[in-house]
Amino acid sequence: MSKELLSRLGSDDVHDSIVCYSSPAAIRRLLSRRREVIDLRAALQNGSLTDDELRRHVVELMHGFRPGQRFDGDVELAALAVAIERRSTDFAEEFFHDLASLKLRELSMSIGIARLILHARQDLAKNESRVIKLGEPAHQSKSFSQPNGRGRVYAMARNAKKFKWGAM
Amino acid sequence: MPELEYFLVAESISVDQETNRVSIFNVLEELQADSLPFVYPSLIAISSWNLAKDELGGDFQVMLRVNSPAQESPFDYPINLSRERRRRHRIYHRLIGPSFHAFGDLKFEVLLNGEHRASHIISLIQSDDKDPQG
Repeated sequence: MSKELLSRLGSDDVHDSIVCYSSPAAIRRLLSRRREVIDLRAALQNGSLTDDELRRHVVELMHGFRPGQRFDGDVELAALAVAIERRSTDFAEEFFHDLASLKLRELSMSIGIARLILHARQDLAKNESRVIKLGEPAHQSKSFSQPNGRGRVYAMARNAKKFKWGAM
Repeated sequence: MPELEYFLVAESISVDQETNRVSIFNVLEELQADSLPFVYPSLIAISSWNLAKDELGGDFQVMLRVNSPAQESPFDYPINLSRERRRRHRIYHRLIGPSFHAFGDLKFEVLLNGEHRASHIISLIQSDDKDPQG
């Protein structure tokens, strides 16, 4: 079922429907109204389709990519991008960032749409977390980003000197 | 500087992956304990920050500070906002297995680049049915 939903994104019907449009914005609007895209969104929402399946599908799709040759998967990637444009998962983040950073004529449609969506996703809240296991030393805490490099060292130094782990 | 939209300490949260909506469950205001130390399975501090256009991609540090009557100095847990250009950042500090060694007010503070922005107090009180003589 999920395989079928995904393969429908690249059907001739979808190809034919966007052939007259050139701007990414117009194609995005059109794709967002397509039944194939709506059904895929619904499947993701109710859990019958997972991010892992999407990831596998994209990998399989890209096996057909040949530099310098027309790539039919471009439309499918564009449709997938529209289907997951509001999705807040690691896969979606990765997908949009990777696709938007490419410079390939063969993927011009999907890249254009990914860039458009990435810009629109500025309005989507970013979720960031730090997990602190209080029975363990602070340096075993997970998942926090520190572009200035200060956070972890600061936490370790401050906590290590003064406290018994887990006690408040 | 980014503006704080809200700051709360709760038992758990859930983020809908499809809509990105956050649900907060059991906001903590009072905890009752029979005896000390009192171990709580997990709690989560949530702060939501709005960035102006010229702040997108900037370097900001959000710190959770936990003050407890049992400790002279607080615990600090910093996290840096990702540099991704997003107008709203939600920061979750999840504390797994905190143990409390004194009754009284636990003060959770959130700081942005070292400046206090808000606080949330949880009162740890002794259960009424506990005999004070032990």
